[in-house]
Amino acid sequence: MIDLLIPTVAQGLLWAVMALGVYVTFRVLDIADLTVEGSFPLGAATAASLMVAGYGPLTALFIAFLAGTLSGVVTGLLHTKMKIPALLAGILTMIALYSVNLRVMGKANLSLLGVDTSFKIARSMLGLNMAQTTLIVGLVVTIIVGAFMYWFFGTQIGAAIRATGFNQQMIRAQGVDTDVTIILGLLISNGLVAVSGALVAQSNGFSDVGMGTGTIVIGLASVIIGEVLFGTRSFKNCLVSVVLGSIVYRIVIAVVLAMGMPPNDLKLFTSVLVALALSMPLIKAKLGIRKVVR
Amino acid sequence: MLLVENISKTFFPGTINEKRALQGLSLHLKPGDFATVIGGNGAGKSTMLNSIAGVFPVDEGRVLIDGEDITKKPEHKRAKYIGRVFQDPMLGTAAGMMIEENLALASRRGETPGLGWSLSRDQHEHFYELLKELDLGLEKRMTAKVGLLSGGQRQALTLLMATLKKPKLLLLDEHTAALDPKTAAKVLALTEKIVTRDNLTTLMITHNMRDALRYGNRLIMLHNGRVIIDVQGEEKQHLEIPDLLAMFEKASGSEMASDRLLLG
Repeated sequence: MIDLLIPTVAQGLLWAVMALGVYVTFRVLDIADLTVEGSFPLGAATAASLMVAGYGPLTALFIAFLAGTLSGVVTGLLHTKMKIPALLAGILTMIALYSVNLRVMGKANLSLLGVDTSFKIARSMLGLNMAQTTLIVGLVVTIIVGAFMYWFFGTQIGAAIRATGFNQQMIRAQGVDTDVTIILGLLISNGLVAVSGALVAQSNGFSDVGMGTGTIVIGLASVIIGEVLFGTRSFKNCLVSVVLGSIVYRIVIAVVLAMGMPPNDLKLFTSVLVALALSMPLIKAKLGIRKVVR
Repeated sequence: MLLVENISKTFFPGTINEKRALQGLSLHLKPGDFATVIGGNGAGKSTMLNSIAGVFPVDEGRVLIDGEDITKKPEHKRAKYIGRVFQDPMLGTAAGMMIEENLALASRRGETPGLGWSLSRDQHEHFYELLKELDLGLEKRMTAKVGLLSGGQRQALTLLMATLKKPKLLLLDEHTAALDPKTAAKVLALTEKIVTRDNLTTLMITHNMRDALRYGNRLIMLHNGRVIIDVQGEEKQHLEIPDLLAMFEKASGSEMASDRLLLG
């Protein structure tokens, strides 16, 4: 059981970075951003291609982050300047990124066999096995990302972005250009999602053009599971909840797979899970249970 | 201070829903003018305020503040000069953020946000004193989310936010209309206190004629997108409701039909 737990938690941490990105759009900006379905494999494709071309894993991670931010800016411009509804803007970017990702990799699947990924390098430095190494790298990255988000959303710009999610009219009356704050939020979100994609590709040992399918649902599942189980008292609390939510999600998946659910049914299972979680407030109200989630 | 020159605004032009909300409206406010604005439904009161605030562009005319032409400036750039309180108590604050976070945002109205902390320690002290003056007990709940406050508390807070950084112009769009009479009176008293203390140039829309007569040094009545009555100073102090009705009939050539305006 413990053999299964460490790699599961490690995967949860790598995907937690993506979940934190989804949190920025879904909760902070109050937008369901589907760009992540394309920016996740974009991060993977960018990092994998660079590493195959001989660049170091950290450089690859950083460029993947930049590529992700760029995709967020595209969605942001479509939404704010072209007045396309956020959901549709995200879908357009996501579909466009499928072609972009194929171009970046040159083919549908790029193997990292024989390439020094950050995990392989860290393993030889730490002298641990692969699962333990992944856990530690995941933990370090998640803490860095979490600390960055805690700092950033406490700054003047960060507060303006949060206010945009709550009340655009109010923050415009305070002199903030909401087009800019929305674009900034999408930029950060998709940058983080791409970093997560790059990490997952390095961990899996390959990048695949199809690996983004279902990203948004996994992200939402992590956010909602985290909020329900671990609370939303403060912003710090929310960030920790999302990370823990991502880990719990991985554990749930590992358990149902171990119990014999066919892997092909995974996405169906996740969708049902998220649909149930999203309808929780209504179900609770109908049953007369007091509201726990905000 | 505020100069509105001949502005016009038509909504849905060329359609069956075409609405000529403003038809060559002009208005000049002197520094420190506290003008109440009345008029029936569709007279153009809110459209005038929103045109000044830059919520939408006007079709014709100019808006100047302190001699600066702001007609082409977007809403968020005008915020530097203008403090606003809306009719809907939900609109003036960010519900999911703390009272002090909202105040911190308002304390930087019109400034480009940077990477410094949004909320600093010395601000906390300052906000505490300001909230205490409101006498609503909010100073003890500074870390509470604004969404937990009542409508009246939210309007009082929004008023404080709009005037925290002294605006050149304060726009109040029926900001007590959604409150119960007792709370409305409290918020109005607070409004008068702040406007008088800071000598703010103010436009206050109200649907209540008595309030329009009681507050401010000037009264403006709109009809069909124009100013039809504009009284100030001595003349306004001695004005009574029947005088106002007679003036309206004379100016518009029609009878005051809105019960809401009379009794509200």
